[in-house]
Amino acid sequence: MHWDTDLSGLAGITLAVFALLLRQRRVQALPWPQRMAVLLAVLLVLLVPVAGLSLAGLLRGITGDLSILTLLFLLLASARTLSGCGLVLDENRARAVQAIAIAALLFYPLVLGLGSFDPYRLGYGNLWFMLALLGFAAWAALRHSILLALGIALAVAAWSIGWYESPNLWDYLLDPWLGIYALAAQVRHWWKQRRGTVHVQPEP
Amino acid sequence: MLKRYLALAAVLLAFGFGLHKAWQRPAPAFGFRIPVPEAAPAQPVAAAKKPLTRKQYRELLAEKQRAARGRYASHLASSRLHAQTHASSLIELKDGRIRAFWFTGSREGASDVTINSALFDPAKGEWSDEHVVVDRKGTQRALHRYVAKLGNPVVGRAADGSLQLFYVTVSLGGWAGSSITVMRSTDEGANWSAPRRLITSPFINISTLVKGAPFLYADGSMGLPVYHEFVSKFAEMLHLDASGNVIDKQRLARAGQGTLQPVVMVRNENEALVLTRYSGKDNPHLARSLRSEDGGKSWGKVEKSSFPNPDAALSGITLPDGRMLAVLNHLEQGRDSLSLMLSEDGGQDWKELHRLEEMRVVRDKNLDEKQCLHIVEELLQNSDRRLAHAPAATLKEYVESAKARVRADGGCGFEFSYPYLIQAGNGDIHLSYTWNRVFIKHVTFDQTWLRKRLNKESYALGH
Repeated sequence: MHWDTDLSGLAGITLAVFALLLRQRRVQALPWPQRMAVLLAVLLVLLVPVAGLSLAGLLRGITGDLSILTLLFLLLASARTLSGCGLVLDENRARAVQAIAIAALLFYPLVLGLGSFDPYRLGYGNLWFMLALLGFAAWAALRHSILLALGIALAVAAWSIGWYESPNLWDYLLDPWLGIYALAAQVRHWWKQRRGTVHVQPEP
Repeated sequence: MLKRYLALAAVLLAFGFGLHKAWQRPAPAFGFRIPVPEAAPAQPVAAAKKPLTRKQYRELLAEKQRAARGRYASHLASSRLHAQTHASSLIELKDGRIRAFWFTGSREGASDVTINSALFDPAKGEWSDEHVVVDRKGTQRALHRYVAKLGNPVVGRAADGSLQLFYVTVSLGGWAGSSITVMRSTDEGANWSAPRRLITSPFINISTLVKGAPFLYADGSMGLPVYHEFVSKFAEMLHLDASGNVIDKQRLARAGQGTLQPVVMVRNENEALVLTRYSGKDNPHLARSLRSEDGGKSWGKVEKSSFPNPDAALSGITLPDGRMLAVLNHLEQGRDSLSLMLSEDGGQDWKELHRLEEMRVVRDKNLDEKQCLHIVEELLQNSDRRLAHAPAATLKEYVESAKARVRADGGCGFEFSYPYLIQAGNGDIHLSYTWNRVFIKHVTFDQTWLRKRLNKESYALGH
């Protein structure tokens, strides 16, 4: 039994449900004590097994374990909802999302069989891949997006300690849900740009 | 700017741990381990030699004559009636018995499908009753995630002697949504560890399926031939360390080449042949093959085999003398014929050695139910001699079980599919396959029978 990785997987799903719940206007409209009560009730519903399976386990079967970057984005979204202001600047976030969208666009066609090269194979601790990723993360920290750099750093740290069942670094960096979100956000951004309605918060 | 330097420090710290882990991780070792035939289990020895009676003498003589002819026998390995049964795999236990696994349930893909097992005792020539090894709910509980259905089980022996049972689990969608789950047994399959999920795919971990037999690399790590079905179909190879963790994954073919259910036939430390089911649209519909000449480090390009494949699983082994045996549906369409094939040139050319099943003759015959069930009854009796001597009511139950599938479309259709071939330590060959999706049939033959088939084939070819 791999309780540790099962717990981390289920915790990720719980966090995702919480984040989505907090986005609901009805929940946001509740006073603090009631909001906490709702979250506690949802926590029980998610984690208490019924007929041998919890609701979080049911969702986990469908979504798989969520990548560390997904969890980071969900955490930031929750924090934004709770505090009312963003911890990360919009431009920083937009740049991270843009990089994730490009990565997803390149990565998923290749892993789903396009060509003979499978980038997923690099995730089993390939040193050259790790060094290239280090270079990219360092560049992101200094020049591009701190959020992206920290996301990659957290993913690598989680992979190092075996946070999830997966022995593959890619599963900590990216998942299809994050890829879909990033692509959708990019399309939305591109559409707004075309209509001239983009207003990003500039970096100081 | 301070924020950026702090972020860089966090990156460097995290990558310090990451690079340490990557550096510590042993690189996957290649080079195939050649299976060493184990000595056959000791046979009971008579306490003292006494003069033989006339009856004993006749029996001994008959036994010698049988041995000279070679041994070929078939049985039904599964015993559950009125269920769909499919996708068997075999392993020889340390005491010489054979253990089989398959999945069975009300229908393929149903939530009541279980992975079942039974034991074959070669001395008695009998299969035990089947029992459930694992079910969907047990798997779901252990994996802490929803599991909708179970599929193909494949068993292998790890370098430490334990058995590893890999089986397909689906949480989302059809078979293309499969993942692989594994259990380990250190007592030859009597008890199993809790199921554990293998993470093998970045797309919600879906679409890795297993059918072919695992094999060992020289360092004791295990190779598991698998295949991908979501969006596109292609064969892959998983590399598992001694603890059963995935340490590498190789793509054997790219999308669009229609390679499914790869089967690895190791020739020596460096060379291996992979045969695959062909699910593409090219005609003629030929099985595909590819080779490695560097112990599995790299695999060559996908080539067309010399035999047809009706988009159906096949199985093969390499004999100690280097010749290769394969069992497959030797036709472009349908699964109503099953053949034993032989290659003497490392898998380039194949010839049919023996027709194990042949029911193409009834394809276009407009048989009524009575005629069809009469054929089914005869096939069952030929498949297992116990049924030939069974009470009429028992035989009728078996026929009724088969009827649900054979006459599923109102006609009389047969299916012999999903073969799984192994060679036991004493040289005997064991084959299991799906019999009309209602039973698992087991065929065993010895080296004498095989030699005689080879001689007959050589004679027929005028060699």
